Amino acid sequence: MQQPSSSQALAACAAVALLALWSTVSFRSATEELTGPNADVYKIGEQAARFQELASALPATGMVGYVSDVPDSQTLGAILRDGAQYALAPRLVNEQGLKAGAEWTIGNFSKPLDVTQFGKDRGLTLVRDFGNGVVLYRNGAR
Amino acid sequence: MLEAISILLAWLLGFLLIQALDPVGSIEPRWAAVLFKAALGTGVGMGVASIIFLLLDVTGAASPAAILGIDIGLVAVLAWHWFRTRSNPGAPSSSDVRAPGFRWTWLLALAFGAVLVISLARLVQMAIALPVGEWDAWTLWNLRAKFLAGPGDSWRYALSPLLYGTHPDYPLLLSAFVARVWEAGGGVNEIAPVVTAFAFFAALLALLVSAVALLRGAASALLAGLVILSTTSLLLWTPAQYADIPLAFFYLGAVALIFLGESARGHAQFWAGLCAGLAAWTKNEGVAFLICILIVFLTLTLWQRRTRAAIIRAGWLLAGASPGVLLTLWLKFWLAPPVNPLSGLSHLYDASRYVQVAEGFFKNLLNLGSGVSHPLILLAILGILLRWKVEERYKWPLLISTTSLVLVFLTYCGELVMTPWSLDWQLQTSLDRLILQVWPSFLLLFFVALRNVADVAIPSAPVKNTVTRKSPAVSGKRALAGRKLKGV
Repeated sequence: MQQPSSSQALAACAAVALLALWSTVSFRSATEELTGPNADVYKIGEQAARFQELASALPATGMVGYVSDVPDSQTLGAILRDGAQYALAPRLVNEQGLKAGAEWTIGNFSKPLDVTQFGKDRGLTLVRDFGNGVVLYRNGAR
Repeated sequence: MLEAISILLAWLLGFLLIQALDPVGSIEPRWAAVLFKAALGTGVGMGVASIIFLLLDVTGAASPAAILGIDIGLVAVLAWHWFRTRSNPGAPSSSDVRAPGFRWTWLLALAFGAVLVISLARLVQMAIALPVGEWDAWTLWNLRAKFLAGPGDSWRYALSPLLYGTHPDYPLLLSAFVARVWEAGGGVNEIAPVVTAFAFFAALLALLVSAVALLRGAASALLAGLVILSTTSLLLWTPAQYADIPLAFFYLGAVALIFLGESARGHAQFWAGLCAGLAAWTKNEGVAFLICILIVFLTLTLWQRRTRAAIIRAGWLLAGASPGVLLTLWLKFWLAPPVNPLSGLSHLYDASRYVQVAEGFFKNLLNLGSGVSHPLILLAILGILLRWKVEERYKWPLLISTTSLVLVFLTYCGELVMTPWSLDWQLQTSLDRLILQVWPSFLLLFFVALRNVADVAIPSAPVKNTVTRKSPAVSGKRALAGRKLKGV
């Protein structure tokens, strides 16, 4: 195979350098939205503050139950549950917490509703409504 | 403050470990050798530190004092060893070195610097806007880190089957490292996973550039750096805090060290094995990589090269891989709930799924970059203009690495075909990251096979490094040859 000339080498390097610079400029303009306030589409960053007061009322670790007005099968339900889990870890937040004998259950609601009645229907006693859709229940059977 | 100290200690631990069993010897250029060891030390240090933390955690001994105390002790011993041995002059490398003959290398360096600074600035902005990372970061990797950093037995929740949608059998390197930093600092904060993600990205970049510099010279290294920084999907995933970039780092480390093991005196195969083992300790795909590279290396070595030296190298590789193998076995068989990896075996008979995976592969390959600056276009330009020249000493590691990576990727495709989840969803959410995992290693193979830019500029025989540096006459002749070639 014939060896390429030095001008070919220079052309290859110049092309790669210029295209890489172009790629970087394109990347900057394409990612403008990802640097703004809407970057956190699931609002996970806000969950720590939302659950802060409730977290201080719970033991530092252990399993806690979980109830919500949005089923997990919906995307919103999964986001609400996983956001709560991340904010409250190292506690294990689980729908089966009630069955597993957990003392506490958290309510995570997407809209205003009668949280006392919601808990009663599931055998839970309201301990405190922290507002913003965050509620603490005690397992009523205990 | 303590968080920063713990990260610095992990890096120092890795760097000094690498120094203790130097994988590159006295290969030139020295800046590349130092950068290679610093980059490798970053990943190895984080891997080793995460293993130490996990062992402390499961035995109930994890505390800031224990973490920092062990790290400081290890760093002190290794530093003492380094200072004691560095006064002994190292054995000269038997490898040849190419002169930095391409006169426009400085321009490439300038372009690389500009691209790096602009890209990094944007990545930092993205990380500030989304410090919790993307979906898997807070539902999986950092969530498990919170469990591992929690009090008492809460580490067990990281492996609980009750966690919805997470993978309790997933390896723990990344989560355990972040947990270690949190534990050392005395609390959870958003900075630790961000710094960890950026450290792996920087180490990956430095590892690729330095490895290509050691194998093919500075100009080729800078071209490799420009191509990887044009891989926009890699940039996008960096602030996401996923385990794919750490995994790509360990793949690249293993592959680069297999090459360096051919030309350097040292313990490159040991570190290659360790990187493969740490890959298995980072993500499930890493288990496939570990198995493939061990089988390919051992089979080809024992089949083709039954020399004593080759068998010793295979032994070093196995020794290096053993921590990762043991940890993975411990996790899969003792800690995590059992998972059947062959649950979707019946899908193998569905031909349409293979077509779907192939289509998904090409679509995601296109998504590696964008427009005329797509990295594949950059590689095509280099391939057409510079053409190929594989040095004799790199043919063997090229065969081992290429075979291993092809097998790994075929394993990925097989796993996708068998997935019990929706194949469409799996292709949309994971195939681009699977490609990214092998992409830096592929780039290394590409640049090893590509003709060296300096060869084109100065078509002279390689010169021993000692002569290169000491003889102005030789340098003068080379410069003259370069000037003559300008007119070609």
